Amino acid sequence: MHTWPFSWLPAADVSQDGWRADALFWYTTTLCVIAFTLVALALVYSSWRYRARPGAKALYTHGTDRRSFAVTGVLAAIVFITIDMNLVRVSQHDIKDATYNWPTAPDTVRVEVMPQQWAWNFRYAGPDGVFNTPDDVVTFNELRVPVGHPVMLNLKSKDVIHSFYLPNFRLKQDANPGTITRTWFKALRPGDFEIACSQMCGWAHYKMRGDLFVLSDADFSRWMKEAEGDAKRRFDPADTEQMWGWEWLQ
Amino acid sequence: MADTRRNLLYAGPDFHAEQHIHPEPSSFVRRYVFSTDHKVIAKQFLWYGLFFLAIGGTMAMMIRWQIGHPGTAFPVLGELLWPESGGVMPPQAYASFFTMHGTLMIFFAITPILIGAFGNLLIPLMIGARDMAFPTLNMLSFWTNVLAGTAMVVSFFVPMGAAAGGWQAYPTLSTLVGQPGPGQSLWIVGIFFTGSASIMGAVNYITTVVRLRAPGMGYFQMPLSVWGIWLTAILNALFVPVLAAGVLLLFLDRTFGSHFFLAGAAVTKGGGDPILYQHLFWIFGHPEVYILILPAWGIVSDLLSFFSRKPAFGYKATAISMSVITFLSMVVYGHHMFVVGMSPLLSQGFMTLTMLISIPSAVFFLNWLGTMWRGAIRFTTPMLFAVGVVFVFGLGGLTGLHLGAISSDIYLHDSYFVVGHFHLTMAASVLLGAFAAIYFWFPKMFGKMMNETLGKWHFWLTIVPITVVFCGMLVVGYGGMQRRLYNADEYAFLRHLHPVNLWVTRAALLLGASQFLFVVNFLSSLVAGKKASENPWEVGTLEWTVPSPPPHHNFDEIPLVVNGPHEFSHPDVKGKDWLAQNEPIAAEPVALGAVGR
Repeated sequence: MHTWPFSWLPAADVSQDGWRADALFWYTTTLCVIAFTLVALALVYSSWRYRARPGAKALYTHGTDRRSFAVTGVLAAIVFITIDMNLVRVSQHDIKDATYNWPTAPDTVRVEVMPQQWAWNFRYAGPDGVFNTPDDVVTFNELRVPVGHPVMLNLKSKDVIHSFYLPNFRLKQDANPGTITRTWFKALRPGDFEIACSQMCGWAHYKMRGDLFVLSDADFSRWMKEAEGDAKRRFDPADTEQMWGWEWLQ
Repeated sequence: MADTRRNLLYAGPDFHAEQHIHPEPSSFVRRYVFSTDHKVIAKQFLWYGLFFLAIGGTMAMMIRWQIGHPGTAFPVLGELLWPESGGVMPPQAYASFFTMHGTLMIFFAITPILIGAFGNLLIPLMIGARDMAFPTLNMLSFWTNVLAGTAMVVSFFVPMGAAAGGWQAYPTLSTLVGQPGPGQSLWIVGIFFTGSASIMGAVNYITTVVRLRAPGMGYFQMPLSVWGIWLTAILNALFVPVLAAGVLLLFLDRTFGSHFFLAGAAVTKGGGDPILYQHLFWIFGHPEVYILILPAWGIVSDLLSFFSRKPAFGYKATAISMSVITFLSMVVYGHHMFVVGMSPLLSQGFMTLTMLISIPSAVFFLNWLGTMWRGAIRFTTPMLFAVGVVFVFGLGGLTGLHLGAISSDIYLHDSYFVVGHFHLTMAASVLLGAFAAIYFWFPKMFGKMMNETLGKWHFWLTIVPITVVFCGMLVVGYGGMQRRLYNADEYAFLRHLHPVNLWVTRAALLLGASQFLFVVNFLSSLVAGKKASENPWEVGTLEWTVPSPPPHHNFDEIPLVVNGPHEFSHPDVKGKDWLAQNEPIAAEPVALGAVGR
């Protein structure tokens, strides 16, 4: 299955905005490789060229002349402007256009996520559009979303801190007990993907795996209709535990 | 004569007159156990740190074994530790091992070796003082640390084992909800005590540097090692108390039923905020990485100059850059919390401040390269390790950029990329820096030389695997692997990374095995090493102007400093290429003309 060279690339990106992390990663990596290569070359060259030899004498300088300051200053400025300032600039765009640009379109699918040790609970508002009511659709370890529609999540943990991680979407958001956090994504193609926990949450952290099913519009509506019917039938007013939802935070 | 010279050259306040020479204590206990001699305390910290380095390193090997060969028994030791599972590390033990590996390495290996041992050894000797400003506090600092270490060791043997909530001990996992056993409480006690020890040390170091510098030793005549240790002490004094506050509140939550950090299922009513702990933790935690690396930076800056036989290039700029970074480290901690759900405005501010660190880092990096440029470099073992630090810190520092930018961090957060990055910066660099320091100052500490051949083998068999290990972690991190997974094969999207993990494990085992070269060298040199002369490396800082090892009171006469720490290859000096800090060049300063020679 594995051949040389190792296969080490991340899971395929199937999201609308996952390319942003990938693009910034490779931009940074390229510049870092250039910078590091220069440093390594300087190290190796100096080590070889200026190694102690009989008769060789080191240059007596404290590097405090104007030229040394200028060279150091200019190089530091180049690093800062080409790498750092660009990272900030690109990140600011990503934040504004994607990360915190909460979807408001009417076709947005809204899901409440409550992780616990060591599983994922999901809650859809059901036909009434209001969370924490008897008609809510609740699923366990399986999140179903339609392709091509924004999906917005509200997350709150039941016990300890977990982190909702979708490798195929380059998405990660902590779920804390006590407070609600938000995130969103949009899938570009249907398929079965994995939900992972990326925050240490106890000894079985490694087993906290869920499934994300990205369905076509038709499949999603069919499933949702069926699930709504089940929800009504299954609702038990005596079971207070199942009313773990909360008022939606847009 | 000496007094006349001193009065003519140095008009500052003379605290040095008050440093009396005390006779060396004669009882065994006061001499070797409860000693107030900074040189003895330095050795105590060194042994103490190396002991925990061995434990933490062994734990790392077992962690790597589980990742490379999940579900198979760790050779030899596995059978002893987990007979009920046939030698296979259970997941609970795995969680506890990575938690304690981090804790022990940071607080009980690196801190004692670089700050405890070399801070103690170097500050008085390098600034020309007879001892620390507060020798008794110094002793107390070490023995408080021993209490802390004892709490940590004991915690392995209590019911439910040692703490297993990660070295950051985030609540609510670290509260009774996630860690019901006494191990986590002992962990808090240990951190609190080791923190107290650090604060005692910090107060002592700061005072000593401010008050006890020999006449003529201005701040900008101090060796950069002292600069690094001094800045570290300042950060320790300011930020360890924040950690202490955080873990104290956590202790109250665990023991007395308070609700500072509890929320969700942990409380029925009211409750606090677990995120508050993260703020407290990282207000300390970010400076902490600089607390660990600053001494190594200082030491490397000195060693590069010493062995290039050239003055440190841009000495003042390096010292100022280190100070600027010290300041910046206080205002960037939020980049550890980009996925916590913090206000986007805060995240943006922290990102921008984080990026500023590049400027001073680039400055001292270029100064390091500038120091080697046109030198006459002697590749001794300590020099090899110093160059090694430049190499691995280059990798570690640059990969910090990926994590400082919000949009790439969201993907990389809590992944092996982070693990690779921080090991390169604060494990590999600091460890190599510690080895450089040990090889370099061993003669001064113990009066014996270490074996150079073994030392060079140790260097090459360390630098190659250490680079493979932590760069391999960067690779699997980009591949998407989260940290702290007992078995990554649970996830289909990670299975293709197994060969990389396997090679990282193999390199890690080689790295672990090659440390035996160091152990052999250290112990055999201690017993049968070649006797060290006063100044075997031919450098000019003050510790090399006294015998190896120095007498109890260090200096018969407090030296009068007339040179910077890196006066190499001075054109006016004939017959040798170095100048001691208290050694005037042939042409005396003007003020001395009156006295004549």
